[in-house]
Amino acid sequence: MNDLLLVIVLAGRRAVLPAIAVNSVIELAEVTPVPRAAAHVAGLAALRSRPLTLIDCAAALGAGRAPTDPRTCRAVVVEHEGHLYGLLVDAADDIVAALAEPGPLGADPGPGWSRIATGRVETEAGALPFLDIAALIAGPDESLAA
Amino acid sequence: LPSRARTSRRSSARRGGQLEFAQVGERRYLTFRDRRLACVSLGDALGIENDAEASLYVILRLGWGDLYALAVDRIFDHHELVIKPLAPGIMKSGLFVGCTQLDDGTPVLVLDVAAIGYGAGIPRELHRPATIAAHAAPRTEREGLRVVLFRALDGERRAIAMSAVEQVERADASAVRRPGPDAQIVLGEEILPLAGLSGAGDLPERITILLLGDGGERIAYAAREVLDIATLTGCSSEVNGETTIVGVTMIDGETAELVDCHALFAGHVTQSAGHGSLTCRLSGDDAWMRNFLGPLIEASGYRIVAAGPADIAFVEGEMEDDEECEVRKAIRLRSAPGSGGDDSIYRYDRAGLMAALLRAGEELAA
Repeated sequence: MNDLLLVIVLAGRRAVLPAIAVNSVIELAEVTPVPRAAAHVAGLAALRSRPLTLIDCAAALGAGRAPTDPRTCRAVVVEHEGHLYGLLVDAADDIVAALAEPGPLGADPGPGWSRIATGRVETEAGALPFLDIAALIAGPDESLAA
Repeated sequence: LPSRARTSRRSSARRGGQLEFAQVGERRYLTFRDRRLACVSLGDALGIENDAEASLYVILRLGWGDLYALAVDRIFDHHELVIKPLAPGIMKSGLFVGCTQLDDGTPVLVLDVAAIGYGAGIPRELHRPATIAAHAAPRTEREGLRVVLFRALDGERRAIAMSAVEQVERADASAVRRPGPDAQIVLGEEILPLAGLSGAGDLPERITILLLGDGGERIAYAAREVLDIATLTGCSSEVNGETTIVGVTMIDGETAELVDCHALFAGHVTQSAGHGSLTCRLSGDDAWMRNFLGPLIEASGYRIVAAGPADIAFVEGEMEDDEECEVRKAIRLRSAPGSGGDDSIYRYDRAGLMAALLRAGEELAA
């Protein structure tokens, strides 16, 4: 198994995203606020003349967490259903290799985590939750409604 | 918060200072050209803090003619837009149609002004903002003509009856064929006669097209830009020598030429001699009839049918009796020039053919 994973820090915890889905990791300068959007939509930026919708992953994890300041964090750029998204995380520095296929999550990882993580994966950096990009983008509202 | 409304929907912007308002319950109305326009706060619609004593209003159009006043904090600029799609999480609110970018790359949301207007409680069935009865007395003409005010290609301010305008579109100058009195424009799959080019000189790259209709025929009218919608109250005075202008009138203290829709359609419709409903059947030498004669007949306004009953039939040589009874009028052709000794017409006698077509059309219409 040598799938590459991007290690991010989200709400003080480490987690991984599939590196193949990651376009780039950027820092943001200007963010345009978007009124009347879901709480986890942090605003709008542009990347090479395409709109970049910013997703506050901490807010997607669960309500009650302080909103992430887009200017102090990293944005993991992914493309999902034809749109570019910037997933706001505290840090996104390491790329590690997976040592096995992601398996079941096992014991309840805590509020929010079971919704945004599809499983647990053994990596060079230890066992980490494997995050679901679609679930992060959908945010907490959708899964409550579903 | 920078966001923008598409200019095509925007009628004009007004400062609050010298404006008159009415208060109906919690709803504020702005009096604009003798009409009461419901005020909508953009800040409230977007759920953001805003200056409650807004003094800048953008007059917006909800479909044709329905206006409302959107209170905004500031107007930054005008821009040509390229609208890009937004992610579903942002579109879900229904307040935006997409996003665009400023020259420095900053994304700017493009507002759906219709959704904001309806969302703020403006009823959808409201088609015309009510005129104010109290002001009706001093006006001699209570029912003014509603006109679309536009800047013509030659720079003149012109007005045209709003009921004649079916649609407004933008087109490239390259879509214009044969600039001149017989100009045409290609819009989608339609080729329409194009008016409004006289005195224009070189065409700008992009022109605004007013699509005019009288219920049947359609004519395109080229313009530089649409300025406003207004109600004609003053009398118009005639102008001499200008055949497609019915007169000059005053709108908002400036002159505007009122386009003569009747003359416009009369001029262009005869060009295409519309017997549109008459059918014509071609028999005999099929390929020659279809390829040489067919386009001429269609251009004269007939619809070509392959077989069966028809209003007119072109026949080469003798026609079978059973075919003849399904045709109201037959035109016989012969392939040799000179007198044929009957009522047939030489196939390349163009004048004779056209005259026969015209005669047949008149006889059938009578």
